[in-house]
Amino acid sequence: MKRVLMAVVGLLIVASNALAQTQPADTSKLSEDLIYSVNRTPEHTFDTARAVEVITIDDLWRKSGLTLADVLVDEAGFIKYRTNQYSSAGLLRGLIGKQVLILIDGVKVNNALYGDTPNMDLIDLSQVERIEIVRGVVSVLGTDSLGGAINIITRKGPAGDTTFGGTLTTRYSSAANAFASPVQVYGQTDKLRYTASANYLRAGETEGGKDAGVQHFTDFSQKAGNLNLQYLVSADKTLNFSYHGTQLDDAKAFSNLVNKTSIHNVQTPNRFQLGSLSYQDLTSRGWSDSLKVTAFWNQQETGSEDVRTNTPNTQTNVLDHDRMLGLNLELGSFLGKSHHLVYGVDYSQDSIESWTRDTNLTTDVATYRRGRYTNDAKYTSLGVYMQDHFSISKWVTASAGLRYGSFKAEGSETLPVLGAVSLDSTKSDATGSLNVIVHVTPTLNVIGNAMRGFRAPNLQDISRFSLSSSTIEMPATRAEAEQVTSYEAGVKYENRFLSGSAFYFINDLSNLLIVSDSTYKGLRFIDNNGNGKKDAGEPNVRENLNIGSAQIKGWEANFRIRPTDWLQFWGNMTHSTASTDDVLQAALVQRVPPPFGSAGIRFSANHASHQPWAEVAGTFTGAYDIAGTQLSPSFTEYKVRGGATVTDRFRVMAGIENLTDQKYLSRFTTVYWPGRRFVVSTEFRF
Amino acid sequence: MKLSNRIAIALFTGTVLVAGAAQAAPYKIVVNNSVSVSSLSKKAASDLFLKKTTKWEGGAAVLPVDQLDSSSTREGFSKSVHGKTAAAVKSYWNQQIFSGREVPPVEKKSDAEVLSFVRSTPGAIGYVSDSASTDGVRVVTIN
Repeated sequence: MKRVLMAVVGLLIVASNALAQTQPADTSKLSEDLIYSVNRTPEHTFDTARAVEVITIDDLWRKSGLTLADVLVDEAGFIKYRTNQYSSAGLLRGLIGKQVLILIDGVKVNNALYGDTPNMDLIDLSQVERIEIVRGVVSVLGTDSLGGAINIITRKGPAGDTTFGGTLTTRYSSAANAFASPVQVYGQTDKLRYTASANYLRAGETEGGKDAGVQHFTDFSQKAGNLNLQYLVSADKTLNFSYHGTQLDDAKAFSNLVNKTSIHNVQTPNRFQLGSLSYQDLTSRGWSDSLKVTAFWNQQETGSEDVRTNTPNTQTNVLDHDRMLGLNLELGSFLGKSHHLVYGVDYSQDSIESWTRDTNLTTDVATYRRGRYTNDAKYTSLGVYMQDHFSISKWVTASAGLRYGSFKAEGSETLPVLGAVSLDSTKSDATGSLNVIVHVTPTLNVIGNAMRGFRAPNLQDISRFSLSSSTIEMPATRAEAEQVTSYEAGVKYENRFLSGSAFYFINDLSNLLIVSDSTYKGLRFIDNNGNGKKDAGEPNVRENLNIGSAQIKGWEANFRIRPTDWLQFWGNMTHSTASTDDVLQAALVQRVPPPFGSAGIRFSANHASHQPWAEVAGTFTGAYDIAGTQLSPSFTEYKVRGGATVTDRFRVMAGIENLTDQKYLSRFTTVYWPGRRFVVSTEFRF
Repeated sequence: MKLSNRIAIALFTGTVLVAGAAQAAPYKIVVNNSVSVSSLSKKAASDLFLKKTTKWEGGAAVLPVDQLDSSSTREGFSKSVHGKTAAAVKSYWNQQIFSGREVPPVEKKSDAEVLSFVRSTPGAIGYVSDSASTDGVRVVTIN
């Protein structure tokens, strides 16, 4: 394997040396160097105090992933958990799911039912122009970013003077005979810019590496539609409407079918829709240099349709429906010599529908019962924030952010055993950050950050209820906010030949919510007969309690070396550890990933006639060993990719991934990682 | 209020009170000799450099050129013509780039580079320090 890699690298260097004689310097795209998500205003990545990654539209093409999580792997600090064949969740700094804030164009995707493994693959990749990852607490974006934030920036209108055009793209992966076909049209007039896209993804049964073979019931399909309209009111004023909708179809509960506990089990509905209407005004008014108002609608539905083998004549449908409506008002002001203030108000309200329906397949009679969460519950959040970015001297710049959030849960119901239960509660707290950059030289920044964050319990935390003969999980009406205090130190270096960053972080987490043994009326079980002793059939009491505390610390480093315009080496490494004194929190520390990283070499002749490029990359994930038990083995995946612009209107990329056909079962999944696979993408512009 | 909240607020308000920035320097606006304009209002000049006005009278394209962020001439020009700091103007452009609407003018490293660009580019407009020689270009006064 090493000899193959060395031969490929050697060929790349020889080829790139030959081409270098004729190629002029590369030109950069201005927006690729900007990041919005740190200070809620676009700024250069090198000038931000935070540990960030930006995945550009060129990166998206080279990676040619079928899903969002596919293109996030290989990034420093980010690890993908493929929770099943159709769903992935991202982990940042040891935290996952509802502790990582996901946004689309700054509008939050996280809703009141976000759990530990929300499906980020429901965000359609064909609409994405760039992805910003900020590791650590980001106070101005929201209170859910304990581990970090991922902001997906979508496409808006065509570049340059193009009045009308579009792309027809195909993506294929042989591992599951997966095929996606995004179609996009865009155009503009004097006053209107638009982009619309549709995507259909069909994946067959995934074939794992080596002897894992074809994994039955892992096939699924997904369809998506996106629209962005920009009305150019004037040079400074823009009215923007966008809609993104994705629906997952035919996804099955893989393990239920393989283990034959279900005759039929489809994860339906599985839909995500996000719409927003925003007005931006960059007119200078003395007291304000920018104003933006955004109204949004976020609707997510998840459910299942299940016929169990032990009740073959009963079909059970489960539905969880969350509809969020929100409003954001934001202003930006320049004050004094260097202060740039960004401040605003966020408001949102989630309305929940949740039920379970049993249908007698013989009589077609349906009966409804409680769903996973409290039906008709509401969750309201109000946030006020301010961020100031300023220069202290020629050598030192800083930013300070503060956000106050208030979260109100409302809902009530009558539950078996427990009787009347009310969710009514209000939690409020502050999150903030202070970031300082010392500009040691024009190419070297030394950074120190201190952050404090919290995440108020959402309805997924507090309204869960389950009852069996052995256990009852009570709604967590006593739950309080989870807390984190975080410190970071880092360096960033950037010149024409070398760029990179390295950060060391310490996250002290407290009040973490963990489902554990609890009490009801002073007893650790439900005392049905009132005799004060635990008898057969009296379930133990469980509850989501704020008993978790842990320290997660580690470092992340990345680099990119460009010895010439047509050759670059890159790599990154992440290492984190978690410690806790409490055995109850084993589940928490087990989520913290082993060391992982990636490295590669890329040759790209951007100014040659067909702009050929090729790369070899490797991704490494260490073994998950907890107290001597291996939860998953180490895994190294090699990839070879290449592509070219065949004509002005047609380009192609192809590659082989998991080159050595490794068999790998990552944590939190029962589906083997795809084996050696051939991938190919084509794009035709019209 | 919790102690940690108080500390956060104290840090925030404390750091807000200390700040500094680059010195501003006098400037003069220059245009290519093909441009017949001899004077401009501040508003008209600002619109030209912010690409709100994209054509000269007569229809030729306006090609503005900026100096680097770190230039004291740019700071002086920005405050005088745009009424805001160079950092504020940079932020304006970043927002325009980010929303895909417009890109900022090209930037040149020195008076000499600005003058060379303006001299050789029909429709060009730029600014240089007050002391720069302006041979081969037309100087425009601000009303």
